[in-house]
Amino acid sequence: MSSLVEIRELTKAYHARAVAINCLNLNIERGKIIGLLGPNGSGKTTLIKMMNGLLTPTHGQILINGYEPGIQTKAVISYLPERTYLSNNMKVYELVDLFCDFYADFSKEKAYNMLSSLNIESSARLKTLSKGTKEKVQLILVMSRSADLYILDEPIAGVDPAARDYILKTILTNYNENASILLSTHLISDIENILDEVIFLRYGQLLMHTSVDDIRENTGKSVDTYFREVFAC
Amino acid sequence: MAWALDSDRPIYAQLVEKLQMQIVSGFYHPGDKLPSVRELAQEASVNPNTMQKAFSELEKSGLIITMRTSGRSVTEDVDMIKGIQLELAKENIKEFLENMKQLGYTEEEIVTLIKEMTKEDIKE
Amino acid sequence: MLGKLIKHEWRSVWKIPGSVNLFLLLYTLAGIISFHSPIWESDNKIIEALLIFASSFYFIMITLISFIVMIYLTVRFYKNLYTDEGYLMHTLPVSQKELILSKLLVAFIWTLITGIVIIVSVASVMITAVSIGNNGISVAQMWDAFMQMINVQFLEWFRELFGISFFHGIMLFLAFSIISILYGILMIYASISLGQLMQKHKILGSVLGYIGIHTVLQLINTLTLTPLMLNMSNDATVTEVFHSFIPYCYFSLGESIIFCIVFFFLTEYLMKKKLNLD
Repeated sequence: MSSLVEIRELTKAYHARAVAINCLNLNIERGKIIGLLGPNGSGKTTLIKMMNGLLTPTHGQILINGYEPGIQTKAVISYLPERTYLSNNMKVYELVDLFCDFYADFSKEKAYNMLSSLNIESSARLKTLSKGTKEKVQLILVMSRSADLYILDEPIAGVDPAARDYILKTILTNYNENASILLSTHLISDIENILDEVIFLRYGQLLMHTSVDDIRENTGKSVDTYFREVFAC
Repeated sequence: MAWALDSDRPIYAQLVEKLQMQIVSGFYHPGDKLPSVRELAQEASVNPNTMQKAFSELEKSGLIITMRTSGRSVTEDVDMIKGIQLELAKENIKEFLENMKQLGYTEEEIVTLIKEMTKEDIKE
Repeated sequence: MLGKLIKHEWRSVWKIPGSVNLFLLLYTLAGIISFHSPIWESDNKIIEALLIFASSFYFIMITLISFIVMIYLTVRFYKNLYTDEGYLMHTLPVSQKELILSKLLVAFIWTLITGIVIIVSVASVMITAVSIGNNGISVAQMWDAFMQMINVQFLEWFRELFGISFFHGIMLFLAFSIISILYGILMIYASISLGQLMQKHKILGSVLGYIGIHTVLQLINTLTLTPLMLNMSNDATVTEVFHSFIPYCYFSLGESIIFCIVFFFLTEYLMKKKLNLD
């Protein structure tokens, strides 16, 4: 089977001086949990937006399951953006209905199980929930799908350590062997145990794509420490 | 509860050690059925692929046996478990001796010290 | 998927325009009931002042209600597609066409409902006033009187004046109303989609976009219609002027339809290729 994601000579220039992604080549296999790491401004979010069809590449190509970003790819990508995108006026169960209506791979049962395990009332209006709870609702919705590719942009930023553990557990529990998870974060040490591979981005280019255990074996350092050395200012 | 893992050594190697320890210490008895890769990965809060790799390593050494129908179980070969226990013990002692030598003790001093301390423990 | 989009759009939109319209209807009803009470003949200064206030409020409401509904629908479009909520909307497995169509349809229906509610409200106030002013003639009697006006003579007169049948005229008017609503909504969509291209001040950009589009269209309108107008020489008779009115209407209608299509595809293109979410 071909790679889940194939990225060829991908370039995104916002204007002549602002090249966010610069001729990037990358393959993502199935069944992996991959950390997308890089300092601020290295192009992580731009790459993620292009994979989700929210930005159009200036040059090059992204293929997901063999398709360019579009309706077919949106149906198989479960995307957790950095921002809370849920409308404040909606109630939790309305969101569940919305996801259920549009995503064929969404499991209502899974969603309600997770909501109740976190004591989130499904009749609660989003407005009344704390920021952290909103983020959890969003993650629950995203992880209740059985997608081919999960793209999680900063899923653990801004939540307390207990919630962080819950989120990591949720990710581990809900992903299946044929799916891959691409996870961007600054908090490397919190997640490196659950990663297979890491992708280091710098100035919109691929610096390294390797397995976590290879880094540890070859350098005797954690990915977190290694990252700090590579990107030391 | 996630397993405590060092951050500077390969994860799968640490998982292998943990599992060996659990078998040697009798947490899993010879012939016991083991939880699935997924369950253990969740328990340890590690990637299932990494847990799988650790399992393969243990299978290679023969400590874990894969059965076609009923998943994986601990070997019933008690001698083999004993052997690994001894190996682990030796490794621990080696490391301990290393540390003691750095503190400036000779081997005889170490042995005497150990004897004295174990006697005291018995008195208590 | 279009059906589902429409369903969810309707669900999240109906409350505000629904309650505004319901309020207007209830207010109208209260006014009509008050017409039958003696308070309108009261000498009490306070009651008089209150009635003046209530009437002014009614007129303000009638003039502002479609504006309020339009603004609400515009904000909804912007917020749902071009702010954080856009992250969800644009990653649903639907096409940009479906996104626009679902919003367009729901906005169209609410604009239409609001228009109808305004007409119903004004008409019922007028009918009640006429009825009370004419010693309480019934609605049926008024209808009869009205239908008598639209007799053969009137229809003949209409045909002579405009060169088309009365029925044809009504149809043209309806087509015009529908296209103007769509035109208005799509022009807003196109303006917002242009405005969101700005890195900052997206709302300001949308307003400027609207003014820009409006100016350009006015210019096109003037340029295309001037020859039509000039065709009519100074010595044109009144009949000629009225007869030329209908072709002018058709021309304008065609132009509006073309602009609607342009707005639609411009919006789709910008959404597909130039999406600029923060």
